[in-house]
Amino acid sequence: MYSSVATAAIFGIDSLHVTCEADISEGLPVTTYLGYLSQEVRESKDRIRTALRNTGICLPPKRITINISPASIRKSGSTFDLPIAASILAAIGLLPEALLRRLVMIGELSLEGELLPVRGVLPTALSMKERLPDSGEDILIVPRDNAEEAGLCPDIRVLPVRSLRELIDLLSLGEEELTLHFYQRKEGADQENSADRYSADFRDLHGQVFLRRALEISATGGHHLLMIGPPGSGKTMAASLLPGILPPMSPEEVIRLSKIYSVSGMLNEHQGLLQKRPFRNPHHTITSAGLIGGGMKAAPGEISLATSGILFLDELPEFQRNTLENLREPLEARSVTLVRNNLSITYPADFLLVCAMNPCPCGQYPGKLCHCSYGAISSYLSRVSQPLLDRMDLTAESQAVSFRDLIASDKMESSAEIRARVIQARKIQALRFRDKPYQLNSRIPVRDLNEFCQLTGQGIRYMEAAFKEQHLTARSFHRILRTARTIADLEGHENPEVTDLMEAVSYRSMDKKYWQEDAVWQSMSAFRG
Amino acid sequence: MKSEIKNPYALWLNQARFLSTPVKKALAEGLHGAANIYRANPMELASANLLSEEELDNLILYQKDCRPEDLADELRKKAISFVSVEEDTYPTRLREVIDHPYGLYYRGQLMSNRSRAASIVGARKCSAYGYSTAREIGYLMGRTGFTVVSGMARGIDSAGQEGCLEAGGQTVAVLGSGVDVIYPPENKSLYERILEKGCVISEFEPGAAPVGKHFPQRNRIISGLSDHVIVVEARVRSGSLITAQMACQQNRNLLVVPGRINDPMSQGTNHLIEMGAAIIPSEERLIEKLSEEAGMPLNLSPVKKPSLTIREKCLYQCMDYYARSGEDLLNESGLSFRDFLEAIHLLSEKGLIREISRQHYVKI
Repeated sequence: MYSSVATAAIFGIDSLHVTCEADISEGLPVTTYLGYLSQEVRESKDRIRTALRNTGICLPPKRITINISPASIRKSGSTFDLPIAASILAAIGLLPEALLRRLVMIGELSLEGELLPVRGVLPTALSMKERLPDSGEDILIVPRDNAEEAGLCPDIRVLPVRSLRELIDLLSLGEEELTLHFYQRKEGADQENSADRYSADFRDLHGQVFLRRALEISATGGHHLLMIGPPGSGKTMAASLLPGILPPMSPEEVIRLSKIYSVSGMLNEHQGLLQKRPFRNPHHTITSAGLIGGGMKAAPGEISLATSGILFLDELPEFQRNTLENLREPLEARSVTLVRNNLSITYPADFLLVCAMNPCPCGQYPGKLCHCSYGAISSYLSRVSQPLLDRMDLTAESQAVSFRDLIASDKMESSAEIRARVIQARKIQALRFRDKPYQLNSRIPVRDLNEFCQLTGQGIRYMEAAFKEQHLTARSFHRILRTARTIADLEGHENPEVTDLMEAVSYRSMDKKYWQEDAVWQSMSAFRG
Repeated sequence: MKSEIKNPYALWLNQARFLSTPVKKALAEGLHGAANIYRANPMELASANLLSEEELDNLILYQKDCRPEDLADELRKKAISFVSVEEDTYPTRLREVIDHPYGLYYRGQLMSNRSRAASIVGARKCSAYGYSTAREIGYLMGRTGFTVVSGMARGIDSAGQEGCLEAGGQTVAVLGSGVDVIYPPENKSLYERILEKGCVISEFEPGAAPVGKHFPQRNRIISGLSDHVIVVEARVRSGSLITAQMACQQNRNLLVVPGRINDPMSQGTNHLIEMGAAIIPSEERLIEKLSEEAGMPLNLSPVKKPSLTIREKCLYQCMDYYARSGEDLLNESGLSFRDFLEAIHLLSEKGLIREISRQHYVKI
């Protein structure tokens, strides 16, 4: 008496096809589990026995052997309860063999025999769809609460089930009757989540000429942004506006993001696929595992949850230093690889980094109100790592909003208007980089910079002067070129012109060393005045 | 770097650690020079009536064990110079001080006895106000041809010397460690720049560590080397107040920068003012006061004004000596964003303004 049931295991954000076999033979009445299983999968032994009994099924006093293959990969998670139970039921002849070959099932059991929702339903459905032509498995059985999520993949049929009892009943129905029980997708479910539904709008950001412009450049070229400004100057608000001016996500991006949220158990059942770009704003007490991903069992961190969207780190100097250092590698690779128990998992981490900090402990520097000592400013700045600052293409000042700006009647530009420009400039980039592996100006490698950012004679002279005057390094020079390229795209210039360069220079990345020196200069001038 | 040791015997005497400075000075005077001490027989040494029995025994042993030329060679290898009270090059002003050291180690060019000198001292942990003021005063001193004497410590000391160097002036650092020990270590670059025109002085032997007790001791040399002592910022019971006290004892002209009354950093300086120290109400007054002392007017070379376009003028008029954000300037000047950027660039190229933080500009 042998049977097998197809199910899935989640690795990273992808689902792997897994087979669950059960064999019932003569022998001592014990249940044996095989196949490199983690503790929580082994625990299902008693859960299933009890759930079956509470469903009214007593297991025969025989030897039951369960094998989950492939045996070479460690399998964990609670999704195997249902397939194991189903394979046992099939082995004792309670489920029809023929239908079983068309099924993939995942789900967790309660002792009562109810099915509980699990994570990673969307990746499972998507991988089923890919395998469909070969496997012939076209029905996905999921717990009732996961039906909407599974239904996001329209090409497979989803059979939501409440309990083991219902499973047995449904599978005993004929083909036609069974069809009535498939999940019906509600029309318009995506509405709530569509790309235009961002709550905040650029119209609400008063004043802030430089910051608005920096946000626009950042969105256009994918440049990481550092905002510096006094408390209450709207840094958090400004950052939260960014998703609203980014172009809508491509279908691939939508799927990728939804998969990440699915394996994190954060795909809200009534939301549908995630059409909105995420805005993640972790608190500064976050641990490395929380930010990068991982922990005992690998799980996506904030950087993965911010994929295709914004990772906003407010109060940058308050973050633990080593936590921030960990960001450097994912920033370059745009993915993060975690190694746990002989298993390496890669999560996407393709985010736009936006950081905010006060310029000094009191937040007023370089204004007249700042009373911080030189040493206090120095030590405050020294908490941020220079290598991280080096990765920020843009540095912009956010300003305390003046009363005049607050009551100003002239209308500010709306997110929609800015987004139109961003999309236009992104089209130019897409055309320019059509043969390249990268799509955004911020990602132009140094060897291609000469090709894409040709400077005029005047531009070269200006940059030469700026290089000397502003203590630029080779790296900051390249960053300025990339930023200037984006500005030129926004302005519709073929090549970066001098004014584009000037603007890029005014947003150049921050160098702590010179900032500290400047702190002295500033106070010196204040005294003179 | 060249090492200059005119009198190896003086070096020899200076390095006799078992003798105190007053004894060394008295002995050198009694026997007419360190050379004579080196060559003197025990009878002659004893007849001076300055040494205890133990000191006498040690000195006789020291005569045999240690050759002055060896000591001098060792010092030359380290490119360190030595001067003792026996030579004319020993700073005259310091000679007036009662407890002046017998010898001084130095690197660089020893200040001439004719030059005017002012010391700028103050707290290590200073406020931004203190730092900038010290730097500004140092700059002023450098431009008026004063030698700035200080301790190269963190904070006010370094600021004063930095300012002086910026004006192309000469500055002298008196260390609380050996002249070859750079303390604090972050001042390495300052140390090197001081040596280009000025010098680094110490009464402690080369290699001596910057121990706490050295510092009050070296403070008397700082005030001793200068005509004026300027205290910029000091807490109560601080090393800077010791220097101020020394300055009074040595009859130096004490000038103090006032501070806010509730600022702990200025309580020491305000106290000095209460006790009758001269106050520095402004830079102009400082120059006037120094001129009065010198008995001649001290002049600063005027700064040339470059010509500006209308847009630049527009923007420059909105600028101030404290930082203004680009946004304010943009609104106030009424320039377009692009014109604004261009004007900013041109003004900073002409050295009229400076970007002191992202999108914050000040007049220079």
